[in-house]
Amino acid sequence: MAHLRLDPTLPVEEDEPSLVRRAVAGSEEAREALIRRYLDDVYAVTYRILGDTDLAADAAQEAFINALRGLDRFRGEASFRTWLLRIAANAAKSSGRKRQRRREVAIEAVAEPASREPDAAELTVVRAEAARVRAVLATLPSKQRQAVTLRVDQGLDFREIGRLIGSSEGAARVNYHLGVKRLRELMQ
Amino acid sequence: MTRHDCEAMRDLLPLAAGGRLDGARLRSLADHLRGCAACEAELALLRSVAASVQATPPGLETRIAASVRAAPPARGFRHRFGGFAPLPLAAAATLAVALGGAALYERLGGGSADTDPFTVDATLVWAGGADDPLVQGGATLAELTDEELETLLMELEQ
Repeated sequence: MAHLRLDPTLPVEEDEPSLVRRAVAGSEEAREALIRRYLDDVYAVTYRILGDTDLAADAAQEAFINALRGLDRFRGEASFRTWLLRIAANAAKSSGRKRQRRREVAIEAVAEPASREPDAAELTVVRAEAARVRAVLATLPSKQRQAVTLRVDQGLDFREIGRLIGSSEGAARVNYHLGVKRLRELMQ
Repeated sequence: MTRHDCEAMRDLLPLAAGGRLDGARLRSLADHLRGCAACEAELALLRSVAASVQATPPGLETRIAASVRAAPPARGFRHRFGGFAPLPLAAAATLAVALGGAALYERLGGGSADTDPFTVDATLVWAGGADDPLVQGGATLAELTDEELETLLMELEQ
């Protein structure tokens, strides 16, 4: 019988459970594939909490080390991604506490680095707008900011968001809606 | 356009802003947006949030992969804490007072959450029990309803 392949030119992405199983079994290649797959999400979470690129990178590194060293404790009740994001949020919060940073991120901390090379005019406008949004987000109460960004950036449901920010599902929903309302007011 | 339409669609807006919506739900939202300026404006706002994500620094993936390779194997979490996850003492005390539950307090561990990444960092999450609180999400205070928890949350945040 002929073996059917839909499109042999397309790369086949290994599914998450398979990657995790191989990583648990000790595959370095699988661990690195997990880092590659989820680094952007992890970094987004740590940056949104810390508002500082260097601290966020350190927290992301710590999160991956903790998660990949502790894979034997991952039982699969939640997805690996959700589990990893929770470890990332904890790493970022722990970093923030250690450095005695304020919970609300200083606006200056989210500004673009002054030493950056100038970009094309259009790109500059886009980046300026992104920096403005980050600055406004930084003024929201921590739980509101996290509820909004975890919902938009990561697509998490309110139950998962509640677990990450330390509240009930209902309180996570309330924090999200209050955050969006406040953001709308501040952006006008 | 009814209020009910907007309430149903607003749950989809953050997913659409993050590019996580497709198929029938995306078509349904697109139909709604054609007649709803308020939802359209909220989608634009949420898209600006999505666009504000800071790009991952170049070289971070390589750095993390190297640090993971170099990291020694983890020591058993339960061996260190006897099966109980630590919770900040202050949080435990606050919960105990707020709930008036001496019995509940007995179920809470002491210690610092800074020392262990697998503890759910939350003041309203009970971190005791035989199961890993990270994987389980931390057993919530199941005795309380969501409304009671939200009321407690507001009281604690005041």
